Amino acid sequence: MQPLTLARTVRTCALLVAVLIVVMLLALRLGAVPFSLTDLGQNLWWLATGHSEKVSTDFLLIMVDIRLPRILLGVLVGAALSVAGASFQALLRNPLADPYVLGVSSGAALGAIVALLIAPMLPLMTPLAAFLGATATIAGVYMLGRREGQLDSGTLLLAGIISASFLSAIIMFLMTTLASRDLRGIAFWLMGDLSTALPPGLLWVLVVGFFAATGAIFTTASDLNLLLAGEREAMHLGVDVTRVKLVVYVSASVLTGLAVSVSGAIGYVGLLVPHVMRMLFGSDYRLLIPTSAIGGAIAVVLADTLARTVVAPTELPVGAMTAMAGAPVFIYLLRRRLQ
Amino acid sequence: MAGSRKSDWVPQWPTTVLVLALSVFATLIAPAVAAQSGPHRASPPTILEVTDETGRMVRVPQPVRRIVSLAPNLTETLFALGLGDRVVGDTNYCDYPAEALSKAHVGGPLNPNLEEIAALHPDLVLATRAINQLATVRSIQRLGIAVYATDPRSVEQVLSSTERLGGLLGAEQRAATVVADLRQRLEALRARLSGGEPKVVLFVTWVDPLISVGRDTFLADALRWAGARTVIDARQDWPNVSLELVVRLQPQYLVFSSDQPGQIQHQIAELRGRPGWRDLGALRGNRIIVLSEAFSRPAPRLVDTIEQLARALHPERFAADRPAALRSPARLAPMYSAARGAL
Amino acid sequence: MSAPDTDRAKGEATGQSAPDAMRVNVEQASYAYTKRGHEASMFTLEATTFQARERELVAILGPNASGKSTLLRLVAGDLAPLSGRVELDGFETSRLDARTRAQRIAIVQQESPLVFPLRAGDYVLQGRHPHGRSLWFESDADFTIAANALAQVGAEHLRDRWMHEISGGEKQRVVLARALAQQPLVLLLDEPTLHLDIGAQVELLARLRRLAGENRYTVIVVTHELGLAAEFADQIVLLHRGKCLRVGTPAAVYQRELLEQVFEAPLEVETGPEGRPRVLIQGRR
Repeated sequence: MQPLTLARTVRTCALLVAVLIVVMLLALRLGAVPFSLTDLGQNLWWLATGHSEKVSTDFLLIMVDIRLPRILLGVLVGAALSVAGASFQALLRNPLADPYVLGVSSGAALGAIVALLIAPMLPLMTPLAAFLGATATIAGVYMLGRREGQLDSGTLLLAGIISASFLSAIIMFLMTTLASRDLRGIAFWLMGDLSTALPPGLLWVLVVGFFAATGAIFTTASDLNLLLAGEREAMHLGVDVTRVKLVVYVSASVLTGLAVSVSGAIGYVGLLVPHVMRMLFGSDYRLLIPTSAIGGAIAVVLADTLARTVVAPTELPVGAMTAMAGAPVFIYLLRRRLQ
Repeated sequence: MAGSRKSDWVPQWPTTVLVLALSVFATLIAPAVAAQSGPHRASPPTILEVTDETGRMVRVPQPVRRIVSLAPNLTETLFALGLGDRVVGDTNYCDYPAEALSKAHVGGPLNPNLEEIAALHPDLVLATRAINQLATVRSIQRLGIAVYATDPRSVEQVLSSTERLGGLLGAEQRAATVVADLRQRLEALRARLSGGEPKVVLFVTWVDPLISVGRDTFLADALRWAGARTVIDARQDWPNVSLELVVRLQPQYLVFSSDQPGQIQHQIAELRGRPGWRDLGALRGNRIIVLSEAFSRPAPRLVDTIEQLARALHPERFAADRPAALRSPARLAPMYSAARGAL
Repeated sequence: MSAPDTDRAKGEATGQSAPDAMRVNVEQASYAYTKRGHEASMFTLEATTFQARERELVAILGPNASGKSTLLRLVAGDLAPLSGRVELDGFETSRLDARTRAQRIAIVQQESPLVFPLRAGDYVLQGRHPHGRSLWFESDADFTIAANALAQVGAEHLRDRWMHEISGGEKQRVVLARALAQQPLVLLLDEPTLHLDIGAQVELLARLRRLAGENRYTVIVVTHELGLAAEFADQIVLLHRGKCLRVGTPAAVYQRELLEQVFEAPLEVETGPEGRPRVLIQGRR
């Protein structure tokens, strides 16, 4: 049995970051418009060393304006969803929990739809309204999921599932009865779609939000290890269970809300990446949180690259790709678990 | 046991400082990166500022030499205006005229590939509200490419939209000619049908679920021009309709619009056996009209199909003419059956 | 809170055992469970008094629903007494924060099921948590302490085994090892012998007895096993339907009439060698 040390954690994360960088370079290289590795390297070098005037317009237009932001978005969304998934699995004491089980994504979708109906012309409205919808759902499910003043896993799970269904019903109602043509695009968004470019300021809000929320969860990582071995036992080992549950609940929901507001509900990532990381590196949350984040980034960037190249020039929504890849992985994990 | 290594712990203070530093760093370099990632295009010689049909302000570079079309009806219209060689890219679904198939494809209308569009270096991208997403339009605009969107809601608007496009693209003459001819035909049709009762029809967009067409669409207006009226009066553009209601209202005709007549025949045959559907007088009496896909596209060919529909619904008004000489090109083989035809 | 550490240090420095300090002081402590909104209580534990010292094994004895677990939770500081006091080394136990309590009190209860697989070694290592800080990784010292804890319960060979694969008795030992890894002053056990066979039961109590002596623990065991309590406990607190009927040595507490009343069973009490009472069951009268 290998004890978990800081050194091992850092080493594992460094390894995964290296894999992520390779995947990102691959994603940069592939696409409807091809670039060779030497092109890529040279242009990136020029950009980095301040010789941007030497870089071709095509490169800037396609790489910097389109591909790079999309890849960065994929990294953030993948990381956020995986950390949220791992956190909910601990909070709800349920290996089948994913970021959407508590209804946050349905709330965000409803927010986005309302924004499209009321003010389709304002570009920032959709992600903002989606995030507001997510926040309202977080608060609502929290109220419902309490028992004796504390978050109770069983009650929380039920409250979340019911809220998710209820919100989905409202969404379906709105989509079928309202006249607006702009709602058609929602179908893609609901499946998970990274193709919508974001205003640059929003990307940075995401980055800050991601690090803040993940940082908060990481500080409770060893508490989560204990919580998973039993709530009562954790309390007797000095864990402030109420505080930890609240911090994890809010942070993980914020992560989910952020991800869903900008890219819709990409499925399977939050559920499977933590399990794969557990299989590879163990269940200790001090290692699981960072590895899930990086692993999720890798997964989404890979899926998105496939989604935009496999039947080019048509683009599949990235959620379709994660579902197609995710289902067999899930079956494999399930069988392994049953052995 | 060498137990002298002290407790490895990530002190909370430095971690918080690190996170804060990262955030500050991120917010500081954001403007620098944002500045770099603005639209990277050479500024064109002249800009024409227009408002498109969705109310957006569009800055169209003049002259427009390279056009990408994001909808089949727009591609058709461009070719009809004689601008076919300026079209550098269209969607996978643009199938008319035949030359449209050989243009570079940028994907589907709902989710076209941004990179492909950018790589074609268009001066202008054309979109239409009925088929394209607002998000797509915004994404393309953010790349510094002008996007002009149409939104015709009536047959007259289809014509005026064509005129406006002609003006935007430097083809006013051609546009005027085309539209004048179409207007003339429509007027002639109106005269021919005047005094007659509009026939009650159900336009079937989709069978499972049953979807028809709403009153604010150009399709509903086209039906009116052809001497028909849709049996369903709905505010939504593509309303889900209840079969019961349709059976109760008993439309006189069923109208389909498709370029795959074989499939439609098959479907109609299957519908005859279904409960509810078989209670429709129109189905039993074979009063079914199948028009080409052109009826669903707001483009010049729409008028052709309106004329065909009018002939099928009011044959007595056309009795004096020779039955042939349809203005549609050979590629279209619209199938329609009059009351006594066999389908 | 440095009092207990200096006591131990004092004892070790002088090379002779210091007089066993009083650790746990329960003085007229009572508690009542009430349902929210109702005035009448559902269950009351009436004022109870007893003390427990270092190296002492106390058994809280009584039939089911006599208030044993409630009393244990009062000692643990999970509940604050409605009246009276519960103190650990002079401090009100329930007023201490969870972390401080966890550094001094270790509790062994029926474990919750594990959600994800965990190795026994890692499980025991969790006992070091109260002594660390958030965001920390265990040090070599922590690993040593955990290994020693496993050794003290005779389960070193289980270190790399998965918790869900070991037997009930082995799991018991690992859970105890985790409690030992906390390096507590007080060890509380709630019905630890429930699912064990007689051999394992005796082994556990003997081990507890030995650990109390070697590590200077105060061990408080909640049980309804008359025989085991008589054999291994230094002090018995006898509870019946929420009332504390008697506190004292086994010999003092095991009176036939008293036991029959409390346990509602025909019993006979003998005195064994070393003066410890033995309880016999009168099967047929």
